[in-house]
Amino acid sequence: MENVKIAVVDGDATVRAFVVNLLTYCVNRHVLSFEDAESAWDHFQGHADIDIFVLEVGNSGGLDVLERIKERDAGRICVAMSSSSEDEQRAGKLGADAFLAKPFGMDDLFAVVQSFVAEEGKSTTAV
Amino acid sequence: MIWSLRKRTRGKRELDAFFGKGIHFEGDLTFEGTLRIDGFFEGEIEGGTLIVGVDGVIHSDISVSDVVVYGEVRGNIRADKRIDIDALGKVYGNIEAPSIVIQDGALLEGTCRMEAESNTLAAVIPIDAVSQGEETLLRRGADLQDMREMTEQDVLLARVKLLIIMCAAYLKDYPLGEYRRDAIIENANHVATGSEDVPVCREWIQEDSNSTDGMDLTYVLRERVRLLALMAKGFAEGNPMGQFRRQALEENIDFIGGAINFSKQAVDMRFLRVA
Repeated sequence: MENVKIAVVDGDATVRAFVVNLLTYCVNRHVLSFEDAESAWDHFQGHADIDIFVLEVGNSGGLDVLERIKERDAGRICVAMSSSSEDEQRAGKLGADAFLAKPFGMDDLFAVVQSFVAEEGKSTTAV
Repeated sequence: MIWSLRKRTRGKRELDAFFGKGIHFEGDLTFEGTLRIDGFFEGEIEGGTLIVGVDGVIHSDISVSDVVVYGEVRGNIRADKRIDIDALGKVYGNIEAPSIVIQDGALLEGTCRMEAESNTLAAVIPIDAVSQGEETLLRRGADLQDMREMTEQDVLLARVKLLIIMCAAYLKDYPLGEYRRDAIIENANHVATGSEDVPVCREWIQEDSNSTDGMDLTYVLRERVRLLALMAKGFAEGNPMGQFRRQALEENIDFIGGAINFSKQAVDMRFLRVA
């Protein structure tokens, strides 16, 4: 996926900073960062430029925003994150493309990048 | 040699032929029905439902209707319906089928491709993807029973591993774009600060790690992690890296990786070749 734009949403600043840091390194592009799902949704409504959402769905509004994103454009990739197996099931039913069960590691995020960004030998384009 | 086995009875998983443990077979094999192999097989296999038993070792390409792998396969697998790799199963080769299930604990070294029954390419999925009806949900991270909120220690350990990969990618001469350089510096700063916490470093150390000639391994690991952060910042900021500095970086990566039981070779980072 060329010129991919990724948004990371997590209320936990430590986790969010790590995910943003790793993804920035992987795709060599600026990665958007949001503390809550509604802020990400507001940005998406205004710009619609986000290709991949990495979205904590265990907190308030995460699943709701996931549903809205998929309703608006099913082609946008949504990677749900949570420490709850119930959220995993709900996210799957709402159309999430991937689920990151907390706690996850760097190799798990690499797998996400490989699956949705760096498919079949392609990679991202430098800015 | 070409062998052909004919199905005698119908029924799911009802065995029509069985190669027991200790049997060594070389040649091409075509079969109908269900075949279980618990011995060693080398050649090509075509047919119906194949079960590779726990003791089964197959060195061949496989083209069947269904396959369940409890043992070891070295070769590509293509199934018309389904591939199931059990937790004990090991596959060294590419797999392709409309439905693929890879149990937790299974080993797959190769690509994994799901193809719709209409022969239209549906998706390329990595290990741990789970088929849910017609949709495919990639699942990664903790096992169900281990799910919990992430602690700062979880994140710090993940950052140390990321720093190792960043350094390994640099040593492979993978490109460093503007954002990558900043990301390396940011991660190195986090790691350098976080690793000052000695009890955290102690938790990372594997019990079977080598001792360090009387020195406290926790202390040595902490200092080596801090050194790794310094090294990473150095090359990210464009400081010169001669042969000996590169060797020192490689050696430090190996030491830290060994202490925390993390192998950079286990991480597929080829996608980082392009920035």
